[in-house]
Amino acid sequence: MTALSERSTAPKKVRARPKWGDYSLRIVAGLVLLYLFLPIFVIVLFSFNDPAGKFNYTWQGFTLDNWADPFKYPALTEALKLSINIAFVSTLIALVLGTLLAIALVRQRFRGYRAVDTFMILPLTAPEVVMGASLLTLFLDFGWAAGYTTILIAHVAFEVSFIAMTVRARVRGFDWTLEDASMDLGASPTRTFFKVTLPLIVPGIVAAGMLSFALSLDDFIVTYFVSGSTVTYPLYVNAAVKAAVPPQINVLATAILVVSLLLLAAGTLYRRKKVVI
Amino acid sequence: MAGVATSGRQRSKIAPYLMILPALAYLAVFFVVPFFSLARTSLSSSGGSVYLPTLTFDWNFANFADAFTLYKDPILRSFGYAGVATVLCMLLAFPLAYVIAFKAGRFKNLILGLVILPFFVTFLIRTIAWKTILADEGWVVSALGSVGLLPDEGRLLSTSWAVIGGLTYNWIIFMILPLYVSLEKIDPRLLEASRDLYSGGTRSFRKVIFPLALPGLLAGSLLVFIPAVGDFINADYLGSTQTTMIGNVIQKQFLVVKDYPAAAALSLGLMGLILAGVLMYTRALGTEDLV
Amino acid sequence: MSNEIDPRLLSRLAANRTSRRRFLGGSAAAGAAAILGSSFLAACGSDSSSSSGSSSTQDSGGPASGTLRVSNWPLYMADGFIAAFQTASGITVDYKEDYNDNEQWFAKVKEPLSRKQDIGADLVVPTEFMAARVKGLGWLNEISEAGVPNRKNLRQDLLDSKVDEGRKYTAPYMTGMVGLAYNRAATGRDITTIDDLWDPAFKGRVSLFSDVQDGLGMIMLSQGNSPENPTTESITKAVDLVREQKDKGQIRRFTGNDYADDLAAGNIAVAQAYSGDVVQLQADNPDLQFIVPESGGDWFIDTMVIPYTTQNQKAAEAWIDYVYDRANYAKLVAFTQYVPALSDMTDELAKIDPASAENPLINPPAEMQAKLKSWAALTDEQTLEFNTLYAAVTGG
Repeated sequence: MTALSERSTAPKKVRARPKWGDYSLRIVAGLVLLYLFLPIFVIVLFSFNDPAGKFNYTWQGFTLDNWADPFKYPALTEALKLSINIAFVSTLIALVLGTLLAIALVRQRFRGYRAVDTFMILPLTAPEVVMGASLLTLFLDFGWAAGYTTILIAHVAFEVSFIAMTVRARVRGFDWTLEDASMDLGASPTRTFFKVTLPLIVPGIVAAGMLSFALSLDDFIVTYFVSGSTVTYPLYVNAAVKAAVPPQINVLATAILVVSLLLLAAGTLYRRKKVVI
Repeated sequence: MAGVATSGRQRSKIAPYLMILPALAYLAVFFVVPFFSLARTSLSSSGGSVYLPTLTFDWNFANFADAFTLYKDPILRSFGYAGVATVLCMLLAFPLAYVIAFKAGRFKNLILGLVILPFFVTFLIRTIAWKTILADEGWVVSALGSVGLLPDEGRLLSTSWAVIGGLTYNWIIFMILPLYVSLEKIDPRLLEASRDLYSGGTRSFRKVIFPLALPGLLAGSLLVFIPAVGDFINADYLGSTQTTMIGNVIQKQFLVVKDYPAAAALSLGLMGLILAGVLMYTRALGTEDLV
Repeated sequence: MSNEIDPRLLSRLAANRTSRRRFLGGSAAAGAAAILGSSFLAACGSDSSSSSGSSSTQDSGGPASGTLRVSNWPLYMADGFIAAFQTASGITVDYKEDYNDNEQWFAKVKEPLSRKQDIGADLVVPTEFMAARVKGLGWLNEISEAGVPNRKNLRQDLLDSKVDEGRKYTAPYMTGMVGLAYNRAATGRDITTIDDLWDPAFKGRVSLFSDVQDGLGMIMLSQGNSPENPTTESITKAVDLVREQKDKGQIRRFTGNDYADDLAAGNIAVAQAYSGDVVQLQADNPDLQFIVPESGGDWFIDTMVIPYTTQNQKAAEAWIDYVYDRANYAKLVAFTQYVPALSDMTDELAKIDPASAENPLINPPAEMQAKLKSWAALTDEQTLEFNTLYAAVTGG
């Protein structure tokens, strides 16, 4: 990733700059991070709640019982696994479609460029309830049964635009002469693409992937229409919440967070080791 | 902002078409076709059975006229809420994205991961948690109340600020990530140089950092604003009877009143308005391209 | 969730897997499958509902068997009930808790049902007005008398229905009272009438239902009209009152079933509510009370219906019959804590959960029941008209 913009070997200058500017920036950033996590703390806390009734709204007392039996509601667990599956697969597909789209739009002007540009925004603007219903009608016209595949198709459809726009933010200002340099040195266009272009826009792709994953995991209305009798995680939670809010929802949510956190930390440590060695 | 390849080398003429083909073909089937049927419905009149109406296409532009006269308020409100939420997202996201891009060093990926983590918990659970934090009797509201910072209604929940807060919180990740991605590729030596040149933080920001961050800012603001305008779920859970957004109207018209032409006309109208807004916005920002 | 896979499903599974492979590309599919193993299979399985839409085929005269797919509201089922049914009947149950809103469900199944395509369920539990609508469209199978001998256990007032003469298409599952819930600590006093909703002391802390029947029923009663014979005038009168109060800022929100958290937190002082929810909330907060307003409230009834695209009519009827056995039904009532649809439940309830048997919200006394009305059968046009009138106020 640091192939050409040699950040890590840039000379570190020691400057006398107003420290407060630097600190206040970090403090503000920290506060924003805190803001992002405020509800998370509540969610984690309430996973230890001990309500007597079916609702988990007010703090009643501390218990580890919920953690002892996190898979108490098999439907919840299954729905979660399904949603992660769909998010993962749909993101992969949409990443391919969207990245190609983003690069093509920036790399060179071509006829119809503006039209494609404008068209890309449209899926973002369409209200979910009508698109969901229209997609369902479409699937039925094709004779497809609503279920896993139709959910996947619908998710990819709305993810592509998000991904294209995010990757594009990275690709703009890309130094295309790098490609020329590579090809001057004898690499084929394909090799250039994979060895030069792609690695430099990877942060954009990763960011787009993360956004797409979050979008898919959270989608309710479109999924509702095209899911048939398949139940995804948001569908389950949205339905369940009206009847009861078992603490197991909090437990599973916390578990996902903890696992992801551990993976992240492991990744960081691993990179550190690599650099040191 | 040179986003386009300027190269003397002969570029493959068909390459771009090949690259956009998969996405366009996919969307042609799974977006354009449903979109056309929506457009058709918006210009139809419905009659016959209540639940399975026959829709006759008859260029019924009255659907649009009715929609916009009846629902002017929710439309304006939605644009307003979304606009404020977008600005808030920009203000909050920038410091964080900046710090991650330039000050985080080896913890960059960790913090980035942290930032997206809350969004793997579904919207509803996050919103319930916020309702717990901002409860009328909770300490947050009491604290703000004693300082006199509460909206007219004397509470935080079920107000327009709660809806805006919900929109901001739920879409901010779509501002942070594109912004980060755009900032991260700025060569820090440029920053050093600009600070030397302008000997001050603000001018260096205005002249160098901001323009370079523009693609990310642009992408981010569109990715936040556009979905926020059509949002209905924040108004549902965090709003009051006075904060109805156009998304709620479309939901109701479609699901409960079952006036499919009206729902379709509102949807299409909304899409058109958003597109127009986006075009004006990008022109104002001075970019040559749409995005 | 089913423990075994129907052989017909297995062959469709194989077919589906190959088509998805083509679609996704081998590695992605392999990756996804590796990640989730069995649940991927389960996901495949649920996709393979047939589109032939043939209605039930097991009229062979033998006992019910095979698989039964049930679609119910979440947490509307007692632990162990399904397993017990499976053991007793030998039928495998694929139980899905994917029913969460009547109109949303209708919007989703409207297209498939109108094309006689399978919707993935052999038995569904909509609220009565929705069941009536679907029956009116001809999309339900009759529930045979022979298949459900326990039908006689139904409450007197539920044996027949205004919207389903002779109770041929709908089988009441659970009922509840629609009334007012209030937080005694927040209100400082007892609430007894609809006028209490409009007390300026509760400004901004009142919530009403956004559904026409649940929301306007009790308001009409307070104005001297009745949901038993609604007219444009009586509905308009009720809607106007709501509009007036909304404009004054009296009403904080229009809710579906999502008022519970506001009530529990004290954000809302008085809410239109369902009895079962309040019973649950009371467990954690004894300040919460439920009353049927003086002028009256109404019943809601959730009913079991069999869509005409069902693939196992007999199993569905066997399920209904099993539910209607008082001993089994008592378990459901003890868990969901709503008002039983069967008569004479006190004894069975007392055996498993004496507290439920004594709870007036689960076993309401005669005076309470007398104040509860049920809605007349509305024509499609009336439903549309009333929905439109009310939607104008609730923000659609």
